[in-house]
Amino acid sequence: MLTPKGILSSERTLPYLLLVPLIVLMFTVTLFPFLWNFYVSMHDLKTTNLLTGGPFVGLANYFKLFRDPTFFHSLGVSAYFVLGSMVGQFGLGLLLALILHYHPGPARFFRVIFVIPWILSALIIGYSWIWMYNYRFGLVNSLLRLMGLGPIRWLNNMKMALWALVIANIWRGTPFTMLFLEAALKTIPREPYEAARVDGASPWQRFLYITLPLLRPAIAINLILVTMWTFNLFDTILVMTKGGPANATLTTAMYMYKSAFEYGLLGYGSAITIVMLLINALLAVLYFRTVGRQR
Amino acid sequence: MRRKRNRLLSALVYLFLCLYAVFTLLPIYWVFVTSVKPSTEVESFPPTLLPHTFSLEHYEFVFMKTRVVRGILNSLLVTLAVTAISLVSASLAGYALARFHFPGKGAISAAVLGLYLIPPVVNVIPLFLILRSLRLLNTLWALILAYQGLVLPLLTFLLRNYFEGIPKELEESALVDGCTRLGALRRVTLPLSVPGLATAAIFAFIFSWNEFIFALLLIFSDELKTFQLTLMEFVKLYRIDWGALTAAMVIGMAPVLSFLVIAQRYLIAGLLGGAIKR
Repeated sequence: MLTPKGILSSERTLPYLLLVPLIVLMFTVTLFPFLWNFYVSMHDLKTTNLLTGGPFVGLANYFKLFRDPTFFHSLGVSAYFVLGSMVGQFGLGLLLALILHYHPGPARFFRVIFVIPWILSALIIGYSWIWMYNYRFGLVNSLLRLMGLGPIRWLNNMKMALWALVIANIWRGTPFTMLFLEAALKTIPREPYEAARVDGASPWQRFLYITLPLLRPAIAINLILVTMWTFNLFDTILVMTKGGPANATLTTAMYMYKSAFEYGLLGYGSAITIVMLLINALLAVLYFRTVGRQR
Repeated sequence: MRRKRNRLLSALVYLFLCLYAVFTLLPIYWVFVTSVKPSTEVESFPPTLLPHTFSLEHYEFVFMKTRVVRGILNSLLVTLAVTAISLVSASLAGYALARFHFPGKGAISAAVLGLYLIPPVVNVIPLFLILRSLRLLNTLWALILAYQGLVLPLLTFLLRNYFEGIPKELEESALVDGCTRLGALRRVTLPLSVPGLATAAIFAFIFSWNEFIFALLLIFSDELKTFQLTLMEFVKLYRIDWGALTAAMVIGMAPVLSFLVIAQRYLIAGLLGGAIKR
């Protein structure tokens, strides 16, 4: 009997009903906008012709993109930004994860402190670092002065600005890698270590031949997630440098934001988005393959 | 010899932990210290590591003479709505994924994870256009809707994992006693899931409290600005009022840091929930 009550208690239909709110919301605010990107990217939509919709231009936005030197410049900036952030976040994150894992006593105290940057707003992080990097009143230059160095115009200097952002991003992102790898360390069984100890392996050998291989899938997933996030990130950059000085910190995500919302070229911005998405998709395929292999 | 080496090693470990803690806390300390210096000291050279005079003038200014209080109210409104809507949808969905076997379950999980991996940036332009045609631009509803996409996938996986940890048998005995499925969910599973639901709620809160890109693009009126947007008002073209800005930043960090102190264990487990599980 298909009375309302019957539907609610039926084991067959109930799970689908429970999923309706999630599916409706995800469709409206994520899936549909996502698909609409493709449509927008094929129109010459600008903030000036929003009302009429912008003419259909086919792949013209994409052709323009592949002849746009600024776009290729932004890919290079992104590469440096991602690589620098990743080396720092991964190196520090792994070291901290190992320390916290093998020292559960102090771990409880230090973990809470280390996590703080990960949960602060990008705007507050950005302003905090602008203040740290301030030429006259910032703490960074004060510390340099103590060592008899500097001062440096961190965020206005073509050479230093990107590295200043990388340092701020390492500060922000390291906690994630630390927590992620620490959780992965906890899943490694004890037996191989005991066997190795009986065989007389040194701590360094145990790390190299047991911990590292068993950690490899987690490391792979971590690196892929961090790469994706860092490539897509532009909130702190928007706050700290807006891509300047002279495009020195213009990552691809930042260029997309500027094209769409500063120059008003929404269609062009969408085309950049689609290319970014392809790069993300490539990384996601890697992600699913590593997750799949782990199981 | 060996003991000496071990002691040296653990001294090094502690030294490193302390150094990294200093690195983590330094920018926050610098913001805090600046916020309690009087205006004359904020921009004095060389900068003072400890304030010579302690002053709450910037906090007074921020609370009395700026839009920050209005921003906090707007943010709380958005945050509460986002939390309520996402918590209900995510717990229903998480329950369905944890307790039932049905055709399409794997596909739905994969789709939610896939959508989670789409960077929010990607959706900014179309979402702007959609909300515009729904005439929701420049309303708090625009944010309430847009933020669902940010929090729902994470919350769904978090709650699914939590429900999976609650023994099925408890519910089954309630069913034997004559409860309906939804009755069992309400009377047995939900009360047991309070820590999980609280974690999810805190996450929804932190995400919507911190967000500012969508807010920047979807809100234009001064009186609708969220808290984060009001921070930007202290930044003028050639001058930043650092005393007032740092005071407002401390106000902005306070709720997030309190949640971290209160619920650290759940939060840290939850931070990983979205990333580790399928």
